[in-house]
Amino acid sequence: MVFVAPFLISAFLTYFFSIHNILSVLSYLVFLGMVIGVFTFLVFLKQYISAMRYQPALLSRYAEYKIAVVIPIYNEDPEIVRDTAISALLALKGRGDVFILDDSTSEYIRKGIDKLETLGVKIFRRETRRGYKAGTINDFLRAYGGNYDLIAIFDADQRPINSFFDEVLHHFSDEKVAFVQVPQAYTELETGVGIGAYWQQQPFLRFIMRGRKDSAFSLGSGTIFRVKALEDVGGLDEGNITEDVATSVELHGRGFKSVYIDKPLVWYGEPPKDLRAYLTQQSRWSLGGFQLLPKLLKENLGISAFIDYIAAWMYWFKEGPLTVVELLAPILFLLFDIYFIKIDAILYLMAYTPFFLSTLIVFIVAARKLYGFRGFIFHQTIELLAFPTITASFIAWILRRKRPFAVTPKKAEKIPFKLVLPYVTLLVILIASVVKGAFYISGLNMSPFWFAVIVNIFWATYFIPFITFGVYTVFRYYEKEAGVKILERVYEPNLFS
Amino acid sequence: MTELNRDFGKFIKSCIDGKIVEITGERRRGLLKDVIEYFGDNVLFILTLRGYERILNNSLRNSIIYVISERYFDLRQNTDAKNVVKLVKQIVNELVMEMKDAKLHNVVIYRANDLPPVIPGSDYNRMEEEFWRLLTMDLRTLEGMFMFVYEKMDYKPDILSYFADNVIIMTHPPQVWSVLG
Repeated sequence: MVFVAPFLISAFLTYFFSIHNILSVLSYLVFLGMVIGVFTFLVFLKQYISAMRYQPALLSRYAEYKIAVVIPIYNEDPEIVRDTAISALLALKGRGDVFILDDSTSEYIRKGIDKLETLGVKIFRRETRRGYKAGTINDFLRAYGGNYDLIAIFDADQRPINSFFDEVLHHFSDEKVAFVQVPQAYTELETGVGIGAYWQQQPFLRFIMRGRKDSAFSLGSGTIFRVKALEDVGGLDEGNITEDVATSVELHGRGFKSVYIDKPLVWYGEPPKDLRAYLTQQSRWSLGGFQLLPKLLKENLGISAFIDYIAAWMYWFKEGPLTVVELLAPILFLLFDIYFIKIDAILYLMAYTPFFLSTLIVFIVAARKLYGFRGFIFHQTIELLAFPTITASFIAWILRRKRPFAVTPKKAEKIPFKLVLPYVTLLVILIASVVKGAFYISGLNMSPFWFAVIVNIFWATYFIPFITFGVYTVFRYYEKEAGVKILERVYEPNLFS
Repeated sequence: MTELNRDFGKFIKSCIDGKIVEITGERRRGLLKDVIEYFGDNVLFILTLRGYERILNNSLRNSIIYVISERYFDLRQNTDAKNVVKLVKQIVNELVMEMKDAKLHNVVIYRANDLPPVIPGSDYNRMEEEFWRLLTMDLRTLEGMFMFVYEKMDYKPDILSYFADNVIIMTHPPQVWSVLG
């Protein structure tokens, strides 16, 4: 019912406020964007209130566990992997072993990885790449899982600090805790895209994950799973491209608990550094998000956990297909004189206000202690840039097209202009719409139609600075010190004190 | 030897008539080892120093070991006079929960020196006094005995001793004890 409600409300609004023809679909999607905006905002408020009460424990019960640290890799730079492996060895303090799960196909990389055995890490290889990251971890569990109590997963570029396990292990004294998650780190902020991706993560890690009391999910790296719990659900879910979230849903559905520790326990991490890398990452995450729906409807989740998860699904839906509609609507109205909503412009403004206010409140609340105006602009910009790839993921999900697992590239490359061309084209179209709209209103008397033109000009204009800044961001490279400065000021574990 | 020491520890405990006990001595003279031997049995053992957990875990059979998290030390250095109450309340609340879970009534905290807030530029002794006043006041309302192991420092006063019901001075060799009521 929670899932269906926004769709029904939007259908109801469409019935009353739409011109009844083929374009009703468009007006339905516009209303859906508004309703889902309100829904996700309400869920965010719930999570924010819960996050305000977030209080990491001061006492940690000491317990001994045997741990396998696994670093799944696919053709990744052996030097990056080496440093992560050393960090993991130091953090383990003799509690277990470090395994590199090497699915690399490049002979050069494999040779580089082989050399790491001298450090004391073990290398696990298999014949095929079945199930990609989830598959290799499951194969590892089948081979060695019985020897360990816990399995800690780190991406090749996510390096734990020395006291990592000291800080997390005590949570496993509760037998119901299936996994503990720590925030991922983006420390190498050298490009505009990297900084944008960093700011985008902040509200998610500081508010949403802190606030997801019964539903903090695995982020795929910096996760420590109880081996028995994973075995209970048959290992990581290989059917979903974001196996971490899918497995979390299954574990929560079976009554297991999860713990999110919002502490900087990872000292190094590389963000997507260029637009291609960022879009690859968002494409994978969004497709995984969409694929999650049947599982969410099937699993026996508690109501709070269900709402949290479904809001995440709606987030992807809103940032992809519904953003396309939000961009398209003022263009169709202003540039092509296509009208599909017959709502009074004042009423329309009133209906849209909650959505717009939600964004504003998020800004005001988060900006004060989290990221300020600059961070907000970076966040909104980078999020907007992802809409084509999220929409493509949505279409792939609807058509059940398979997309291969792609590792987020770690090195910044020169961006071909053709990757930026769609954004520039959109920018030109939006500017043209605004210019045409401005001519419109100059020749009109104040009337409901005049208001309608104003509303559409407002929305077309709203996107212009973000897309302009986005195009600028894509080509922006920073000195390393700039990234360091950002990191110095942002990490604030005690946001609410 | 260990059994004897434990029995002697029990005897000492039976002499103690208060809830807040300070055990004071010098680390280089084996303070931690002595505390483990004399008072380590059947207690909730709280460590402020990481790195001793394994030694303790191997030495103590009937006790449960806790480590104070880094979060506490963040708060300790970033708190102000107003928030000392909050800090005390949170640590006491967690202690109550853990004592209930573990069904243990005696708590040993090593080292007490690391607990009071440290605020650069403030009157450190006054802040410490306020901290111990609030903490011991709260702990006195609970069931159980709280033994704070305090390492002697030549350069600063032992403020905790003003609030303790009993002070045990650990001298070396360990058979020399002094219990002050």
